[in-house]
Amino acid sequence: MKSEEELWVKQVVLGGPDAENAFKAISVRYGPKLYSQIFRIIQNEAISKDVLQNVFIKVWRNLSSFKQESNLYTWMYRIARNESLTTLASEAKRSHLSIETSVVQIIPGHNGLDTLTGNEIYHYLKEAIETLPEKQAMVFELKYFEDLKYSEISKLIGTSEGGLKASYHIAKEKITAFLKTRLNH
Amino acid sequence: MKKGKDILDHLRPEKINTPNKAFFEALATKVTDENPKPAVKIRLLPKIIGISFAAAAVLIIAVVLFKDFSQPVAKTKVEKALFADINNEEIYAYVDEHLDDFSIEEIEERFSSEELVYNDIESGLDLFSDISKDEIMDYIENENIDLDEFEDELLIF
Repeated sequence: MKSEEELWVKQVVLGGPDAENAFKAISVRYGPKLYSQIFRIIQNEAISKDVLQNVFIKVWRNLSSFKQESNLYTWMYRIARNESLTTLASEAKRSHLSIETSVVQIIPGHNGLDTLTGNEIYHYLKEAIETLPEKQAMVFELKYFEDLKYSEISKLIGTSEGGLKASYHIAKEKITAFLKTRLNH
Repeated sequence: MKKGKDILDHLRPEKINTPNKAFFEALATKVTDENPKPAVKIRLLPKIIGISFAAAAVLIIAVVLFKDFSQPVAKTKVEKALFADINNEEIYAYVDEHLDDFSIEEIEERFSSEELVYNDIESGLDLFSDISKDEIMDYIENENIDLDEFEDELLIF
């Protein structure tokens, strides 16, 4: 994956017809995951698509500055996260954002969750994820929401499976602690 | 609350309906069409400057490494022209007056270049004709000069 990515990046940086094809390949491979990531933050289809377009524009314009110290997905994830949070903040100020879909459903049986709706608990969950370091947040999202195997995540972001398990475990503990604090108040 | 389960186990992430492949291809095409990529600039000026600095550095290193500083510097035409109208006596007088301004190497170089060679002991002795032996001995004593070091050279005595 890495060598294929490197070729695409090189082609985009050099420009010409190959650049457009390489960018299309990048978009098709990572677009769905980025869209899901954006949607989980924005929770609005139209705005999520706008955000994704902005992310693609930034990737297209700035790929030459991508130093390949991390995997391409990690770099794009960072852009998408920043773009989503910025958009969320500005849309919330203008009260334009309407939440269309719930991202999580509550499975009955937890006392602390009985009085909450899916959106209410997800609001806390989003807050908790935002407090995580970037890599932990990324691993948590890919594992918890996307339900990817560690081997798949490892290929995607270039980290060992052992490292991913540790990151996910720490992320889960932090999120659980954050949610418990929120639910007790 | 079920035993052994934490809050996250009681939440089920919903599947997000992502657009199909055609959407992402179309979006990529739209982005590339509407945002033409600037042509890759081959920055010649920085390259030229870099190469120039490298060449200059190599040249300086070569000069420093391969120049033989032990050899006297060849006189240039300009230098020769400057001294053309000055006779040797004037030069010797100047050197004598400003002796402290020159190193021994410079004086040796100048004298040899002017082909001033002491061919006999008499011309050497002439230099000390106005100085008494007592004065010379006082000088030697004051300067703490060890005469044994010059046993092969003390021809003047």
